Amino acid sequence: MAAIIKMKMRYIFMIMGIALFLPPLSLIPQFAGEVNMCGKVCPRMFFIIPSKWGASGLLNNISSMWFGVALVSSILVVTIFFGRLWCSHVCPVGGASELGSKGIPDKLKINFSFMDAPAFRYGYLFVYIAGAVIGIGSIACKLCNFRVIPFLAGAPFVPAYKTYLLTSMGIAGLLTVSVTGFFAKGGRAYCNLLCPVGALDSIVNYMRSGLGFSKKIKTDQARCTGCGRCVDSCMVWAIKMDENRKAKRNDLSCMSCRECEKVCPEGAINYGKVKG
Amino acid sequence: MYRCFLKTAFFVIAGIAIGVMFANFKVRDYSHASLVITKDAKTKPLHISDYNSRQVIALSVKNLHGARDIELRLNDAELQSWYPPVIKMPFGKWMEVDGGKFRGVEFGKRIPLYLIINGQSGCQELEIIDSSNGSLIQTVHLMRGGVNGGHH
Repeated sequence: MAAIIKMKMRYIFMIMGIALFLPPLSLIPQFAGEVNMCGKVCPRMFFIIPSKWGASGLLNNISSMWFGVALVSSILVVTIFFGRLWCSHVCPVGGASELGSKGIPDKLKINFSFMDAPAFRYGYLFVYIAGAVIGIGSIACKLCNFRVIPFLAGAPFVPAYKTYLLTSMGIAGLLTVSVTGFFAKGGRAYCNLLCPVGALDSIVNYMRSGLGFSKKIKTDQARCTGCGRCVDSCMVWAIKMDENRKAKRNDLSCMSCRECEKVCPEGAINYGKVKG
Repeated sequence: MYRCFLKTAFFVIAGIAIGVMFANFKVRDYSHASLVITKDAKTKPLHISDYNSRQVIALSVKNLHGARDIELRLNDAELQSWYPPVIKMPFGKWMEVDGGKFRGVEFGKRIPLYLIINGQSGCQELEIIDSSNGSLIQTVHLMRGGVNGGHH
């Protein structure tokens, strides 16, 4: 029983994240006076370079989205020590996509693993952060899964959510979330390609991966037989086989979900301190 | 090595291209606008789409007026908000919402509101009323056919 709970612990955390952050309960957003992941709770909008360039613009962003700022800061601090636990274990939006994708038959799913995820992600992030200030336009809120998924969760209870989802913008958002979430292999293509918080978190994850005190997923190359199960289990296509048929993990994409550790028949993958 | 570099460059450009596409994504039946409620303020008109069918304007209304009970009125339109939460936690103070009527709105509070305009009428006026005494606080002109004030 304990072993099963240990195996399913990540799913338990994801369900808790969904219950605590999303409507109808919205317990955590209510601490900030909000009812969903928008407004002060939005963890994405404050790092967009504001049109009022400089400290006043940044301070304005931080004061109007203070809860989102605190949330992202906490996420990044946790990542420095333990890896991307927010993204893999708690994020209610990524969690809902992943759990939703479990109900879709595999033959209907799109495999995005042909993409160079870090390259795409940082190209997109550049536009996300600087688009408004360089005159391209702002991506904020458009096709945002932090809007679509909470609104989907709240739609049976609140007519306003349904109203949004039935507009062309809502339908386009639903389509984006469906293609890159529910119908994506692993359910995490939005997280891996389009989420700006995930993009920042992955940079921190990469930079801290050499710090001795922090914990990460490691592969014992001597024990790896090159069976490829870890490659199949990775929902963010962060593991590739190298020229010697050994699993090689890219810390710029790894989400610290530990699914690869669970499927490795040789016990070659483990989660522990970088040095030790 | 050269192929790897080309692949990386291709996907960076693809990421930028998708970003630019998303940033310029516009629809005719949904737009964002913001509004500040202040006493005797000269309010800029809200430009809405000239779309002839149903359109939704996501309006962020910030209360910088002393009134705590506020009503928004717009002919031929439905007003909806996602406030208050479905399950209210005991630690929060929540305004009461009934269509366009808001009670207990704190100073500085932002009200997210959907204006659902169904008709094909021309320019309209959104009236903001202090519902505690029925006095008019502000009138905002909704102008069809212009460009909206932007996305946040």
